[in-house]
Amino acid sequence: MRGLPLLLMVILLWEVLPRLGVLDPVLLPPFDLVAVRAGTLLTSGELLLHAAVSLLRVLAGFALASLVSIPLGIGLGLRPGLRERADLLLAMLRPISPPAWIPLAILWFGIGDRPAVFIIFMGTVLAMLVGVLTATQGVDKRLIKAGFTLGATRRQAVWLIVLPGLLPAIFAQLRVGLGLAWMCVIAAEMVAVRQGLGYMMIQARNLFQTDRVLVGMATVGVMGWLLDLLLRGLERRVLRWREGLEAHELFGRGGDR
Amino acid sequence: MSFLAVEGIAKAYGDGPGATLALAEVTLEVREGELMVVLGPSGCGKTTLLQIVAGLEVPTRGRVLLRGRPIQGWGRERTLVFQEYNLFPWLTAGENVAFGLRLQGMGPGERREAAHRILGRMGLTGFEHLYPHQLSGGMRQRVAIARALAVDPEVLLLDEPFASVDALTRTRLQEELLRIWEEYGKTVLFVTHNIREALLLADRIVVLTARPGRVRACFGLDIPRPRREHLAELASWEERIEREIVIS
Repeated sequence: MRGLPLLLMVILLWEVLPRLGVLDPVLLPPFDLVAVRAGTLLTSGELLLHAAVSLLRVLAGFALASLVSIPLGIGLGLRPGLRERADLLLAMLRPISPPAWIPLAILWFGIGDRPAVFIIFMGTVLAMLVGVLTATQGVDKRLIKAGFTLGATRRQAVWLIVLPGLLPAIFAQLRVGLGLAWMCVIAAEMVAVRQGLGYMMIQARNLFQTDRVLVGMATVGVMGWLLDLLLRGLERRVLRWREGLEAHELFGRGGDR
Repeated sequence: MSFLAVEGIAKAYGDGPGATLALAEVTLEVREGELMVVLGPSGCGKTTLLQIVAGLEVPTRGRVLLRGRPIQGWGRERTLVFQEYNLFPWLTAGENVAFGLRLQGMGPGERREAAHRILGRMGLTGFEHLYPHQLSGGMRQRVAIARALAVDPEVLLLDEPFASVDALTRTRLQEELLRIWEEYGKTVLFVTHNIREALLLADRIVVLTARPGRVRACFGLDIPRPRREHLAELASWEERIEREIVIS
């Protein structure tokens, strides 16, 4: 755990600065008080409930966005004609931030899980789509040619050459998308829901319970980290062939020049 | 009827006054089981010619016939080994060789065995499980040749396959290619800019002019193999062909 020292240092500052009065303890309660609050929220089951609800929304929105953006990104990447037709719309949708969809989401889907999932979907699908599309355009044409002369049909070329060639980029996009989904879920839960970490945090803010806000933030951080860890583990297994090919092997440790 | 016929092929890129002509007019006939080398300076359109025979490029004029029938696009009866290393980086050497068999629906056990057999012939036993980037340049090109052979093509097309390996490896690969060619009895169309290479390998050499390529001359070589043992003859041929190229 080489990342631990830096994390501990931040926690130490978080503990010490309010205690010394450098920061107002009401605005930033010291770490130990937040930890205690997290403990009581955990034992009461409240935190787990909110966290589970948020997690399910993230997974649903992220799964939908992946199912749409990966095939669509590959399709648009391989068909310039389609891409030209879609470009304008995509370029205009992209600057619209996820919270901007909240009013429509509520009008269209009412309250509860569905608008939240919709907002997560809208907030992640475009970024992943553009990422997959760009990577698809960069697939080495010569590999496809080699496949063709070996007898591949176009469909086989997509499944057996384009897709495996894209896997590193797809994993990168999945990680980006998952991070975005966590960002969106909190915004989405600040209105029109009665559960979820975002709801817990906005409630706490209204009651001026900064410790609960911080518990919510920390929970998002920890869960986001755990899911990313899972994805990276999967990536390492699937992309074992990349070992020995990656640029970072030339930098990093032992680089003495 | 010739086995493989290239009839009046021309290829222009772009159209109108800005068009560049890569091939002006190329006609050649390859006999079954023959090893024909197309020799020409860089940029004479040799690669374009091979891509057209492979069906990866469409000629502006002319046509390609295999056993008297015009070719329709690409197909595994005409496999191509590329100049650059062009293996699938996410597949091991064995999986690369088996790729074409997998496309045909052959089962995993059967195709692994076939790949093992061909890699063995190429002197690569024990390297099946390595990824392309773990192999040397010469090994990669051997895997590429094995991959092209595995689907049992009627014509094997080779586009300067040994251009990016060192001189010693190149010599070994040339000898191996000859051995494989004799063993499998394939018809081979081999493109190079290296006169020595052409002389060591070819039954017949077709010399192309500089861009736009057209057939300058065609020589049948009657030097017995292995040709390294006939240095005097090689030298006189070399001179003759060099003269031909300089004039063009």
